[in-house]
This record gives sequence, structure tokens and C-alpha cells, in this order.
Amino acid sequence: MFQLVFLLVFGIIVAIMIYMAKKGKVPEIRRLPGIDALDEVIGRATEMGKSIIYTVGGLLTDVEAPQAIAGFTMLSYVARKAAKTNTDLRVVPRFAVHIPVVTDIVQAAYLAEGHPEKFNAEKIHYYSDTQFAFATGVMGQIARDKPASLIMMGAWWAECLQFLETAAIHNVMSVGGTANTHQIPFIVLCTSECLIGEEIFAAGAYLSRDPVSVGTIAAGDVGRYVILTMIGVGVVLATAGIKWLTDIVKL
Amino acid sequence: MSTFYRSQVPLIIASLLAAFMIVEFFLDWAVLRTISSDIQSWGVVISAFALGLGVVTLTRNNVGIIRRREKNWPYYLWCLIIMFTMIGSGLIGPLGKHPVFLWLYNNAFIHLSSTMYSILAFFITTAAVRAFRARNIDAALVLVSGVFVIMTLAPIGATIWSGIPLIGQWFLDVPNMAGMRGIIIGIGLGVLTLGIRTILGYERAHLAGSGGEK
Repeated sequence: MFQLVFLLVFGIIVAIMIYMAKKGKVPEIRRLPGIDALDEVIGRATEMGKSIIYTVGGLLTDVEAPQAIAGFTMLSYVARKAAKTNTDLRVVPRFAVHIPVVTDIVQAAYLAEGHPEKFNAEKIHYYSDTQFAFATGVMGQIARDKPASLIMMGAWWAECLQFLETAAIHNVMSVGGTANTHQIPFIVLCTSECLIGEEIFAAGAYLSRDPVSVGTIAAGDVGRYVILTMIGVGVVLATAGIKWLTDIVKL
Repeated sequence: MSTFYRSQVPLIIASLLAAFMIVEFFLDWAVLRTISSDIQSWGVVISAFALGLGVVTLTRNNVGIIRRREKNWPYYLWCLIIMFTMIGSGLIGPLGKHPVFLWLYNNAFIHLSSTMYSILAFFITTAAVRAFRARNIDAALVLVSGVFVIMTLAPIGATIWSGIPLIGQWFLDVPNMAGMRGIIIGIGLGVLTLGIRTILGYERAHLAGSGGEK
């Protein structure tokens, strides 16, 4: 019951924020260095005349699907920049089901930038759905191609550190993002810039600067205040021996 | 294919299905549960079919490299030979029981996977060496807390000083737990807002590359 109430309340907050954004009251969105760094890694690859390896993680039929969607959103931006600057972009889909999505994104990006002839389907390197076969493929590609930059966005597990350390060995600048809490420490320690937790979900709104999308990000912040208030009130009530709020929010 | 079919139709399907799944989550109706289960099965079936697409993509890329005699082309040929041997022997009935398939699986695949996983031990060490340098205050805090946590988890920590496990456990239970819970709450809200944007059709960069510029 609490979940439904929270969803409805959050839906109302989102509707209010979208309404305000449409009226012209667009909230400020804080700087996300991880997304700003995408331009830097693309520029580095362009100047060095080397490639960029972009890989998206997360199964589309599981709880990590939002992370994969966020990865696709950033791929769209990176592909358009790469097409504009004539930079060699190589995409490695984590799962076979990603192949048509990333192919479509990259192809459409080249078309949008007026260079449809530069799209090459062989730049989409699929290795395997099996975790370590995929990891071996990407590590091998980093070692062989010696790209300028590695961008990895989405849901990662043990392969995350393998990619980042291989990139470090070959002096590849890496930008990573994940909402998998167990991989966040590795992403933070081993990448030049990173997106952790909710930051990767804000990428679409941050990149497009669409007022309505930015409004939904602001709604997330209001939701955070609601949760913080509930935590504060809950602590006070629980300390006083009153458990009704704890019972309501219990899943 | 027109933009409508490439962008709008997937968006409408995704929005309708997402809205349906939310309704099904809150309404305990058997008919909705059955439909929801079927929809999830479709996802699994589509993923399974996509593996065929993966084989086609891998074959096309590798054949291109072999035909052009690019550097290391024999390895790409070897990859194709092994892949088709595994697929072929695996499909000979009874499925997955052919001696060649089982031999390759038990003697190559499992050991190679274990080896790749084991490499993590070395990568964690090299990452720790680079990370545990007190270049600034933040890095120094990581270094100090990391040393206490490692010494807590290693038996030698308690032998050196009985207070080490207490301090290490405090780092795990208080600052680490608080930070992680904050991040998890943020992730939950981030997923909600992304979901709402996707259902309403504002998040569409993954559809036919219609993503905007910064």
C-alpha cells in the first residue's frame, strides 16, 4: 500500500514539475563531470587519431534494464559527436539483444550528422553473452586496438575492473558509469571521470536539456526531501517507541 | 523504414507495456498476473532469438577480418571454428550431451572462465596500489579506511591489535552503510524518474538515435 501511495505522490510531484517547466520555470541542473568528460574523451581520440571503445552493460529483460537504457542514451550522444568529428567509434554490446539497438543508434547518429556513408556495421563488435568470454573479448580489443578512450556505461559485475585495469595498462582514458553498488568503488577509483548511482539516469535530461526532462530530475530531488523528512520523523518516532511509521513503510 | 515505425511505435509499445506492468504489480488479479508472466516470457524468447543475431554478427565481422587478412586473422578463424564446433556438437541430440561438446565445455570453457575470474585478484591488487596513494585528503581517507577494513577482514588484524576489527567494522557499519543507503535511495528515485520519462516519451535517445545535443 505504501508503495502505491509513494508512487502516486511522486507522480503528482513529477506532474507539477513538468507543468512548471512548461510554464518556463526550468530548474537548474548541477554539473555532472562524468557526462562533461564524454566530450573530453571524444576530443582526445580525435586529436590522437585513435578509436573510442564504447560498451553498454545491462540485460534488457531484468532489473538492470534502466542502466542499459541510460547507456544507450549516452551512446547516442557519443555517436553523434564521433560522426561530427570523424572519430573512429567501436561499440561492444554486452548482450546479443543489444546489437539491433546499438546498430540503429550509431547508424541514425551518422545519418543525423550527414555522413551515412561512414557508418560501418563491422565497428559493432559482439563477442558473447557469457560474462568472461565477453570480458576477454573487450580486454583483447583494448590491447589490440590501443584506443584513446574507453567509455563503459550500464550494469557491470566482475568484468568492470578487468576493463578498467586493462585500460590503465594501455594508457587508455576511461569514463565509466554504473548503478550497481558493488562496482561503484572500482568505477570511482579506476576511471578518469565517473557517473555513479542516479547520475547515469539523469544523462538523457542533462544531454538534451529538454525542460520537461530536467523537470523530472527536479521531481527526483523533491522526492529525496520527502524521503529525508520521513527518515527524520521515523527516527524521532522510533526513538519515542512509536512504531506506526516503521510498520507502514515495511516492505 | 519511416521515423514513425522506428521511433513512435516502439515508444507506444514500451509505454503501454510499462503502464500495464505497474498496474499488475499493485492489483492482485490472476488474469493480469498471467498476462504479465506471458509478456516477461516474450522478453526471454526475444533475448534467446537475439543470440542467433549475435552469431551472425560475430561471423560477419570475423569473416571480413579473415578475408582481408588483417593482423592476427588466424585467431579470428580459430574463434569461428570453436564457435561452430560448440554449436554443432551441442545441437546433436540429445541436446548438450555430445562427447565433443561436453569435452570442450568441461576442459576448455569452465577452466578459461575460472582463469579470467581469477585474474581479478591481480587487477584488484594493481588497482589498490594506484588507489591507495595519499595524494590528497580524499585519497588519504580512502587509504586509512581501506587499511582498517582489510586488516579487519584478515586474521592478522586482530592479532596485531584487538581494536583494529572494531574500527574496521565501524567503517563498514556506519560511514559505508550510510553512504551506500544514500546512493541506493538516489538510484531508486533515478530509476523512477527515468521510467516516467520513458513512459511519457521524453526519453527517446535510444530509439533510432534521436538523442539531443548538450
